[in-house]
Amino acid sequence: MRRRSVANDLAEVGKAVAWADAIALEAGVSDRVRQDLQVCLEEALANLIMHGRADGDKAIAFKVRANPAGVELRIFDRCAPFDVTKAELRQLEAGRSGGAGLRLLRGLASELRYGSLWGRNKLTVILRERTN
Amino acid sequence: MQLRTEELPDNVTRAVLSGRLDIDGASKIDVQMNVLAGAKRALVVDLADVSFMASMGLRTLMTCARAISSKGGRIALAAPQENVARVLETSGAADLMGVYPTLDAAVAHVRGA
Repeated sequence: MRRRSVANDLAEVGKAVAWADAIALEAGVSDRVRQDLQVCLEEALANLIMHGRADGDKAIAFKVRANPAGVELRIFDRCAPFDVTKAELRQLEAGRSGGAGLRLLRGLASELRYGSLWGRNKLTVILRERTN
Repeated sequence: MQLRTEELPDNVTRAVLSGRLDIDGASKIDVQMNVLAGAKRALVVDLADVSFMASMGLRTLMTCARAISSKGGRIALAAPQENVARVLETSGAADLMGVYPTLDAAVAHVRGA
């Protein structure tokens, strides 16, 4: 897996997403899965930068592995735990994107896993090629 | 990401977006969209030339929609490409903002606001 750290700065998100997409492109991932990868990674990173609470360094980083069958993302941070797989979906309101972002992650990912151990959180996002 | 506007009959404004509506693209049009939202009551956002949309782009559109709705106006999204339509549907944003396959249908929805 290839790894990249992400500074706590929204201006870094686009560069990180482009880096991950280049890996997926090189691996022969389909356009559809690459689009979903970009959407999911942007949402996860932007959410940590904008809303993640941490006493010190958020230590945001991610790993990506890609092949023609799909992509696996592992996103790490040291913010207060926020389990996107279990968080309650708020009533969606115009002007607030929080609920929309959660819906996107859950709706686009083939599989989502979240874990937290010793202050370090890990979100795993699996995006599989669909055969139908 | 670029934004240009066109005034249509019946006080309808067409905002034409082109490019990627990702986090960087959204930051480039946020101010212009806020100005439109403050000034217009009937707005159609033409998405035909938007090649990609992610959550920060959604946020820009939803903020605009809230501002227009709060003053009794109407907003509609027109002609999204398939991948953009999928993001609108999956996120639930399509339920908040009307999404129409053609510009004409979107204009008909906001006309009279």
